[in-house]
Amino acid sequence: MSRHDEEYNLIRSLTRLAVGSLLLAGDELQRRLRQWEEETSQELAEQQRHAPPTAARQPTSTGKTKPVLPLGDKLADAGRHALIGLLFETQTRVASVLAVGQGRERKPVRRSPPSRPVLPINPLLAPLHRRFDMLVARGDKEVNALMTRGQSELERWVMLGRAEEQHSRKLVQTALQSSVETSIHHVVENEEVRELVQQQGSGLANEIVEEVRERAVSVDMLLERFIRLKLGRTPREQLPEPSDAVQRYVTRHRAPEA
Amino acid sequence: MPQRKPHGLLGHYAGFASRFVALLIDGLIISLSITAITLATFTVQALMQLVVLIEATGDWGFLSSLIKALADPAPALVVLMIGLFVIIYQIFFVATAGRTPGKAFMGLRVLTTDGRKLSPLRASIRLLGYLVSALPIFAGFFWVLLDDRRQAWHDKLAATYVVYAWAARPDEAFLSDEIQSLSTSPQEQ
Repeated sequence: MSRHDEEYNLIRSLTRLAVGSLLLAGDELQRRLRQWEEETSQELAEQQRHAPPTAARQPTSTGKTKPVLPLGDKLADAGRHALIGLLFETQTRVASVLAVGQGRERKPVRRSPPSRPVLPINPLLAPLHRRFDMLVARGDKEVNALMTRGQSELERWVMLGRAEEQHSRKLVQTALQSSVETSIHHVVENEEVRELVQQQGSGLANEIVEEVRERAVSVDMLLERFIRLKLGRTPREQLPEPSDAVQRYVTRHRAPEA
Repeated sequence: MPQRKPHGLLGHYAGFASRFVALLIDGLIISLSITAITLATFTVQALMQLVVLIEATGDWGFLSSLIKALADPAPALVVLMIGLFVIIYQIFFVATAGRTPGKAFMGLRVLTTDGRKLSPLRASIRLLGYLVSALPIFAGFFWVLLDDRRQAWHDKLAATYVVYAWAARPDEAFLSDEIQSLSTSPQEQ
């Protein structure tokens, strides 16, 4: 096989590996996500049974309710929730658009109310003023309606964002906890890991035994050398070789190495 | 320093320190065993005392004597039992496994000079030889330091060797340091 063919095959193998990993990971992720979603939904349902009621709208003097931010929401939190809510809202709308397809309804685009032109004060222009004021009032009304609608949309995004954020956090917590538990379970149940742990345990004991034995052998030599020196005998560097019979017996009944 | 062989000092004669540590370990095992037996004996004694009280109501012959002996054994009997335990311990392990638990820990083995396992008789002779080694202020034990084959007097009596049953090797760093310090000692100069 030429070098070029070899490289080509390697790339193909790597691609297969990447694609296979993505496919397997996707399948596994989909399966686990389904499981985690079920667990999370059950937990949230339990929590919502005991959850306090959400903040109501404050009534105004005209009788119309004045939209306010949800109780306890600071500006930063509201902004974050709004963005999250917008994200999910956009996702929902895109999904609905894709689902509807050709028969998608176009919502009318609201134009901004006209800005008031600066006109000179003239009695002859009073009708014009009145007409203009009527137009401005109508415009103001439309702008207020738009602002109210925008406010309600914003509030809806905030509420949606808050709920989805909670759900998302819970989902990730569940996912992490489940992953950690699975990993620990795998480690505990794995035979190879068990053997490794046992080897480590017995390795320490063997190490101690070996250390004691080696030191004892060293002291054997030293003591003998010392006594021989004291008695004026020549220290020996080599021990006498045992007989063949002894060597054979010991080799056959060799003690386990530490 | 002698070059390390692939099998180290496997089969070579074991030195004084290794054998002494093995003896200490055996002593510890025997002491713990005797302590456990003594505690059990005290319990039995307490029970026997109760039986003695019951026995005092009548004469049970030999059984009465036995119960009294168990309830309040003579010191000599206790010493005898301890001695028996030590003897059985030594003979049993050396005759069956070729080594006691202490020697097993240190990687030593007792065998005959012709390379065979000891029989119970030879193990008994070797044990009796302990007395011979111990009598003149344990000189027989210290003879290991002087003997070419590192035999004690009881080894010579029973024609046995005590050898390393593992690829024995010294801690070379420790050994070289100590030899160097011995070499530079004033006695050598």
